[in-house]
This record gives sequence, C-alpha cells and structure tokens, in this order.
Amino acid sequence: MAISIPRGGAGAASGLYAKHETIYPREVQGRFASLRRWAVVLLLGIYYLLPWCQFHGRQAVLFDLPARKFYLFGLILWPQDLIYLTWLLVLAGLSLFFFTAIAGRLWCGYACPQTVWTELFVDIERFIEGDRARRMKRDRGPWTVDKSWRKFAKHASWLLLAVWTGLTFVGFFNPISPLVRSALHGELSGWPLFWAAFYGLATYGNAGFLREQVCEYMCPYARFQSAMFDTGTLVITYDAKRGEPRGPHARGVDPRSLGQGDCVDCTLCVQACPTGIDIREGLQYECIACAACIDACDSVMDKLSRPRGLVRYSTAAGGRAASILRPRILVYAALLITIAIVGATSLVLRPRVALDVLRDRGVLYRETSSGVENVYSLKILNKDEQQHRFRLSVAGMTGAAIDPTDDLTVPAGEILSTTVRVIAPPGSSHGGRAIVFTLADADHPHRTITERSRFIAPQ
Amino acid sequence: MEDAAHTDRTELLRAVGAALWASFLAAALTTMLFFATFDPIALYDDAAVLKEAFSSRPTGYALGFFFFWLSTIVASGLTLILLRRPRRVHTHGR
Repeated sequence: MAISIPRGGAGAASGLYAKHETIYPREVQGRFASLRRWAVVLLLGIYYLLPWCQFHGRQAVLFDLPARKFYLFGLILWPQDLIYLTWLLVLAGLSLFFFTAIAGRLWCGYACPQTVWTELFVDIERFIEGDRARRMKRDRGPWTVDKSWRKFAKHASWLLLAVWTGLTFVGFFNPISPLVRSALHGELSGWPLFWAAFYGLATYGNAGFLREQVCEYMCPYARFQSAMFDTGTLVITYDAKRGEPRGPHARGVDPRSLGQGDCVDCTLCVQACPTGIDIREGLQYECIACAACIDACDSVMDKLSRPRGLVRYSTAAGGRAASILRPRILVYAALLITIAIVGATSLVLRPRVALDVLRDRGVLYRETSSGVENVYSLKILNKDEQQHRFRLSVAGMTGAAIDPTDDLTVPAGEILSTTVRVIAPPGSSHGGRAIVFTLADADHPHRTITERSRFIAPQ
Repeated sequence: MEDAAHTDRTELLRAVGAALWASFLAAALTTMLFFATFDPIALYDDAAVLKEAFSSRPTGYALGFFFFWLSTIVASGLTLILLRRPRRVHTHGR
C-alpha cells in the first residue's frame, strides 16, 4: 500500500561526505512552526547579544580562558570551582533524559544549535532563492544570470553570518568589543582569528550544506535517544488507522463510504520534512521531532474539514493524555531537583577565599637564637568581588610565632603570593609535627579557613 | 561497477567522518577537564620538550586540544581498521 516518494525530488547532488539527495524542505505555517520560530529568535538572540551585556563595568558573561576566570554576571568562577562545571554537565545530561522521556527529541526539534542555525540559513536561502518549487526548478536548470547572482548572494550572506557567528563565539572567551574593533580594522590575528574562522566555517558547513546529515551520521544522541523512550513518551506519529487506505478523495463523496481513510496522499508531510523522511512509515531515527509534518497535515485537514491530528504527538501506549507521572519521569525529576538544589546551595555557600600552603623544600629548618624556624610559601586566593584583609595564625605547637605578623590584603579576584616564617621556641619541638594555619577575615573574624602543613625541627 | 566503487568510497568517507567527529567530541571534553585542572603556564618549567607550547595560555589550550584530538583520532582510526573484516582470500590483480 505504501507509495514510495522520491526524497527531495531533484537528482542526486554530491554532499560533503555522503552521496545524498538535496532536501528542499517546504515552508509550513502552524502552531509548531511558530513555536520553532520563537525558539530560534530566543536562542540566537541570547547567543548574539549576551556577550555585549555589561555588568559592573565588565562583560557580563566572559569565559576568560587567558586569565583562567569565568565571569557569569555576579559570579566569578576559578579553576578550583571545576566541580560546578561538572555539576552543570550532569544537570544538562539529566535534563536531556527527563525531556526525552516526556516528549521525545524536543532538544533536536527546537533547541539544538544544528537545528537553530539550519533554520536561520534555510530562511536566508528562502528569502534569496524563493520557495521550494522555485529552488528545485532553478537547481535543475542551466546556469543563468539569475541563478548565478542568487547563488552568489546566498553564499555571501551565509558567509557574512558565519563570520559574525565565529566572532561572537570567540567573544565569549575574549572581551568582545576590542575583538570586534580589531576585526573591523582587519587586525585580528593569532588564536582568536583561528578559532573565529574554525567556528565560522563549521557553522557555514553544518547549517548550509550538511544539515540533516549531521543528525543522521554525526550525532551520538540520535543513536541512543531510543534508549530513553518508553511507551508513554510523546512521539510524532501518523494515525494509520484513521489515515489508511490513503488516496485522493473524490469531490462531494464521503471517503468513508468508499472505504477510504483520511490521508489524501498529498505528500505535504514529506515535503515539509527537513530530514526527508515519510512519517507515515512510522517512527524513524532520522526524525528530529520538529513537528513540521504535523503543521503541514493539519493545514490540509483544515481545508478538507476533517479533524486535525492525523499526524500528531502521541504515545506508543496510545492517546495523547498518557500519564506523565510514570516512575521513570518521577525518578528523573527527583534526581534533577535534588542535584539542582544541592549544587545551587553549595554554589551560594562556596568559600570565597582559598589558602595554599607549601613548605619551603630547599631548607628543612634553620636554628637561630630565638628558636627553630621553617619557611612557607602561601598563596591566598580572593575569589570575592571585593578586597579582603586577612590575619594569619598558626596552631598545633605551643609558643609558635609567625613572622611577619602584618595583615595580608588581597584585592578582589586576585592571588597573593607571600612567604612567612614560623618560629618555635628553642627545645619546644623535635622532629616533624603537624601544624595548622588559620586565615581569618580581619573584618569578620568568625570567617576562617584552615590549611594543614608540617613543621620540621632537629631530632 | 562504478556504482560499487562509489558506494565503497561513500562508506569510507562516512566512517572517516564519524571517526573524526567522535574523536573531536572526546578531545573537546578531555581538553576542558585537563586545562581546568592544569594551568598551561605552570607546565612550562616542567616540559622536557615542546616548551613553546606552554609559553602562553591560548597557545597551550590550542595545542593541547590538537594533541588530544590527534590521540583520539588514532584511537578512533585504529578501531575503524580493526572493525573491517580482513579478506581471507587475496585475489591478485583483480
């Protein structure tokens, strides 16, 4: 019964690394199309504008790799805060599991950079080269002036956008204003130039040429997403019971009386599909769940005065209202909430000061008239946004003194490296023993941090 | 005949593409974790060879990434080769 429909319809064009037929997705209007459009505007808006936001006189979001500091609005993260990056990755992974279990590949259809940039590139293509039918006809035809200038304009616009995308990408890691200024003066060089070109070209290639092939051949998530599905997961389905047998309807005759189904085999759902599959053949791994086929089919059902939803979000268990409160979802949700709360709490309460103590390895100890002394290198990290004054003390040894005794001032976001001597009175210590350095905030004496070390004296 | 050759080449390109991409992802993750732990500049004094790689942080990050990518490409590539079924009978000249 199934009718095979040629993919795309225009002969084979050679892709970058796979023989494939170019897909000309048909533009659709509808609920999901506008949802997708809003997602594109929101996500790309964030991407292109965020680096330009200022906060307290500096770039609000800056992953300053050269200085090894991450700025996220009021938050400054240091390499020592790696645990929060791990936390974020775990959270992202769990969210993917959670949303996939609820409604399939929401990520792919609405939020994946591949989808979002492809959408933008397709819009530009449509603006310059016209709709699906025109593009297919022109691509089959000979190279005319009209075809040449349109192709040139398309690639020029794509490249321009790609360059801007690459610059923005680098702007997340280097202050963006000086970066763009030097780019406009043609003075961009070194690694920023390299990475801008790298990311720009990747965007141009992925969104302009590879498109659905990235999802089909390159994306690991596409391969294992089925493991996160269960019978209650919402997936895009063709209602075969209602649609079959498919075929054109005769005017003025109730198709039911002729034993026909609701599907008129207009193939709009296939034409709209950005990955070129026929949803009527069932759930396929190429499906990125963009729901373009739902919009396409709904528009046809509206015209035929038939109820919508011949192609719709549905579950394997049947029905739209399958229970969301299934064990799998609840477990994911509980894990997500717990990890989010624990991580956020520890982020808020994280120590703003870190102390590193390193015993001088050159000299074990020195005997002077006032006693035995050891030398230590201290590193004090002030991860806070304001300057702090600290008082250092040592414990674990009676009568031990520190020199110098001055308060240590560390400016905001800086590291202070200094050396101190610890002096034990004569005869008070033999061999090695554990000591503890305590660093107290001079303005808030109850805020302390400690660090262990060793004191060495002659036997 | 030409079609078969074309399919072979397509399959090979697809496999190489997948290997490159998988190793890219692994290298990106490793680079992130490695340089979150180690400051490239701090490695300058201890580096026996390729000291210049650690002369500045951006250079350290970039060369580190390409080093990791190279090693993951080797791993992916070897996997590809090992997964190809060896031919039992060699047909010479055909």
